[in-house]
Amino acid sequence: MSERLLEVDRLVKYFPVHGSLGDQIRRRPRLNVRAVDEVSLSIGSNETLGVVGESGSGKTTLGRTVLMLERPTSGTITFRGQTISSLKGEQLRQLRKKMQIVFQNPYSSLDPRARVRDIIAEPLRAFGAARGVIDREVERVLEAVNLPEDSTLRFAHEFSGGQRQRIAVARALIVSPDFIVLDEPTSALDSSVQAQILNLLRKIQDDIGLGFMLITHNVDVVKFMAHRVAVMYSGKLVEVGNTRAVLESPFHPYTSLLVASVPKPDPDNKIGDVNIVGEVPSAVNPPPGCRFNPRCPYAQDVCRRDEPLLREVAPGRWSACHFAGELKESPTPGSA
Amino acid sequence: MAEQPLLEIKNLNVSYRSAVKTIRAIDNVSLSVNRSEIIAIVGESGSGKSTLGLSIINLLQKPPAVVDSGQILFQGKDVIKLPEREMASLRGTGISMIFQDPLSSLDPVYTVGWQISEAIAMREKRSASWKPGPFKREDSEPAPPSGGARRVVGVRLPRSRRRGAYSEEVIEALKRVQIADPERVIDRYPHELSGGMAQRVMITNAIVQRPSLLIADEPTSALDVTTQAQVLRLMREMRRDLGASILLITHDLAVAAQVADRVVVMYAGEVVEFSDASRIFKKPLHPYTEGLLNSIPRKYREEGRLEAIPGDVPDLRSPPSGCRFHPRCKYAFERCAAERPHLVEPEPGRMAACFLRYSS
Repeated sequence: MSERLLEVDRLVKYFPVHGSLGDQIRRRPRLNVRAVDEVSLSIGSNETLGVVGESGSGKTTLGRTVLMLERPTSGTITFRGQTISSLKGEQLRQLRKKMQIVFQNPYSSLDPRARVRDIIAEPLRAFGAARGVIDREVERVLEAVNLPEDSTLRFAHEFSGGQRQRIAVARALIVSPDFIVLDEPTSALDSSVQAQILNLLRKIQDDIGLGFMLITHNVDVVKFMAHRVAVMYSGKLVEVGNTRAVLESPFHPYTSLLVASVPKPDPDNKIGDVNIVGEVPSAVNPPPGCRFNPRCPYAQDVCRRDEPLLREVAPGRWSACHFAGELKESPTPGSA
Repeated sequence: MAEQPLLEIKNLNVSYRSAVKTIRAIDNVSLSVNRSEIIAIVGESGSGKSTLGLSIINLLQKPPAVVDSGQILFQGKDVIKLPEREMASLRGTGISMIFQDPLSSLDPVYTVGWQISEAIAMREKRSASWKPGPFKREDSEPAPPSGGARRVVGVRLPRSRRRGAYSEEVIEALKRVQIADPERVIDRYPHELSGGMAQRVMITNAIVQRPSLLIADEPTSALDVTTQAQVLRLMREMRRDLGASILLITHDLAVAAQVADRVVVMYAGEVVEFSDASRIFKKPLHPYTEGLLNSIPRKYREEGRLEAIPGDVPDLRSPPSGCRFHPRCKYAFERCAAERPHLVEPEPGRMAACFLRYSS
């Protein structure tokens, strides 16, 4: 087992909802979007943790908060033994050398007026690197992401989506970080290009050794990329564990639903009647008890009353379901 | 075949023109859709799949789009030559289309019930037995009910005016697309719906008009995977219950596999493979289809890397010579760069545009 790189303990991030003027006059209590609610997890130094969830599950907020791009409402984040959730100013800035992020959309995350060299070198320049160092490092990361050397003087718009995402990865790599959050790194790319970028990210991890938090809605991408997977639902972690174990024998009914809903490129293997109505609940006013209970085929009274805690059900397998381990067969008929 | 296909596209060429450049978006495409058949058109960005959908329902923005040549025969009539007046009456009841982003296709100032009622009214009006009913938007249009005004002033408009007529049929239709609590959803405005609900409302809008052909352009791409599964099931039911034909436009081969009877693969404006779904996923005939299938991450991390297609989707402003796919193709040989392959039929009922499939 690789050493712990990042540890997150009961991390909470709320965003206040601004009520109407009438609400304020009547002094109604302030409401919050509970984007990340008591999330605990850890990532090893050479590990990819996949964070999978649907829109509104809080996965992007989790990624941003872990990097201290959002200030946590409560909870602690420990990076290589140092508590970073209380850092401010210059100390926080220095941290950016070690933690980086790659965003979903390479069409909007790269400055259209800057040359590729300047885009990639910017993090180094922010830390006052000398010109010679910058040239050498730019060359190094360009090679790492397989971009031709002559791309440095061109502009981002001259590149295709896949190449732009390579530029974004190069920019993250140039400060030699220990940890990168990949926020939907291939969702904006064509499917034939997605595979190239996924292969590249894995090669980079194997070559230089760093931790990834891979945020995605795509179960297939997690399957191929992640050592371990964390499933989020409505701001909560509902299941964490080894990728193959979680996807093949999920402990949480939501994970089962998610896995069963993934279409397979095989007409003989159709998604069965995924007979679950309803949608992801509002994160402002989540249902009491388990947040999945209104959609769960196994919901009992206890699920509507008590919120289940994430607990270790089997070695290395965590689930936040009152009946984890007791629901043996997959609850959705689709997986047959 | 004895029965005439519902839709037949013959040698269609569509280009986008500007003062400086002409881009050939659809290059000599021919295909046919039978009654009650689901055909998936699979392609990446720039493959021409959306342009093809818009051509069929005659909603291309002209200019810059120009139909250079070819025919689109819907029930025997060429929609390209159809006067706009007749085309307008064909839309909805004959051919209906739903888009990727449902919120931009729904009218924000009318309730769900109102919009679906309007679709039903259009259908009734077109049927021979139509008599002027209670819904008369064209003659005396009531002020659009505004959500904001309703809230601030606290006055609720009479239900009948907000809902339009036909509320029973609307509720029935919403139930069919598995919308929970349709009696309440009927009074909602589009912005109050989640993405999955809005897409189902769009589908309801299309279904109530009972079109013979539904064109669905990336209907699930903006949706979460659990909602996608529901919408895909809905498409299968729509074919089963209403006998509609569906042209599903998607970038996702797995989505195509879930619903389609036949699959058309497009690359850079051309059809490169056309096959029944049962065979194409087991043994693709075109190297591009094979590459796309291999690009889907199906294996676990420890099972090795993916076999990715190298390079990028071609820029249609300067497409490669010969076979458009040859710069990325692992089987490419000299002839591929020099000459363009045309569709051949190496197996009965299956077409592929690849020299490897030419019989010597």
